[in-house]
Amino acid sequence: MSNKDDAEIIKLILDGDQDSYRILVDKYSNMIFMHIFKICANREDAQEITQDSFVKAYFSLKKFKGKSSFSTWLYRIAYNTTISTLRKKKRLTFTEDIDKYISYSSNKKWSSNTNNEINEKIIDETHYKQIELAMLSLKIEDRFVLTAFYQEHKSIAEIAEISGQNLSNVKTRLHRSRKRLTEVIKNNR
Amino acid sequence: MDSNNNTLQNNEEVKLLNELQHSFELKLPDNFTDDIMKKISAKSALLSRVNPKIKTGLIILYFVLSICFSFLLVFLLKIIGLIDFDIVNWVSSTIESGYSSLNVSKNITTVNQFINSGFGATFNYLTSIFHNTFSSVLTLLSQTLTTVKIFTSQNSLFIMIILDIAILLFFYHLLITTNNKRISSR
Repeated sequence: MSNKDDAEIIKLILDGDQDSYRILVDKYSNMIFMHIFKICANREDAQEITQDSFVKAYFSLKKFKGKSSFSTWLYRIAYNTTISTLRKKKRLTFTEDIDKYISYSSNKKWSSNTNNEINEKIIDETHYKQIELAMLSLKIEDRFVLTAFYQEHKSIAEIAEISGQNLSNVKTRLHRSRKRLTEVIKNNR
Repeated sequence: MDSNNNTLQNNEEVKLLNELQHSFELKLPDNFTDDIMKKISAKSALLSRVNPKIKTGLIILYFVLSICFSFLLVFLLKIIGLIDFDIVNWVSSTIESGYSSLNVSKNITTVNQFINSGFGATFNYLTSIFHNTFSSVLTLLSQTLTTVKIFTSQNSLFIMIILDIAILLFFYHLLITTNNKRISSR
């Protein structure tokens, strides 16, 4: 679906067709949920923040002027909701077992189970676990920048728009976050 | 040596970033969209039921509470002997100063004339009362702080402005939070 489709759906919603919002939720909920989950590492929190973000977006839809894409605008709401929720909680609660969620990805990548592959899979999983744990030790803002740029392939301009920072700030933060992540992983080895 | 270290560091970073791109996926529950739509419907229904008069009432209540709180504070300070304050004198002097500040005061001898003198005069009067009230409150609070020797008379004025704003914001926050809790608990 293109942005124009989103614009049409938004127009329908603003004209009073509340149920059309379901299309946007179906389209973007998984994307937003995964983005939040990667930052807060807690499934329940991520679900709650995703719900809150969509509810907030619905009631702020009048303010959406279409200057950016709807998804970028939604990301921005999700980003702000995540930051404020996590700051209120003051600490992260990791109910999600890190082993469990790393194995989700591995299951996708490995189809056959020869001995070599199983060994490689174990090494791979351990390594990914290290990276994810290192990511969790970074600041929320750093995690956001790394996740958005490297895992969600967002441009610097998009990240700047979502986080409300200027381009040079995002570049600097990206550079520093990368360094910090490398250092944390090095120290953990 | 340094350049070798840098290259090693950069290689590690590149490797790491490639690995970072290895992502994973989690699925949301099937009824997730339904839950969001239910929340939206519930909130929409609630918002449509909220009477605009309630909002106006809340704002008025907020100002009334702020004024009551200010008076309460002044009385408490009087009771504990930090300030010397006579409320009756203060009210009469405030009204008097507002009245006498009118530009057209020469032509006005009765309250009726004053009321009939129009918007401009009323506005002047209210502005004057507000100014007088505000400066009285500031003087009182300034006097208090100077008495307890926390601040000097010069900087206490500034501190008082901050305190006054903080008190107003506190009441505003209290009202909004209570109202939000009331709405979300429905």
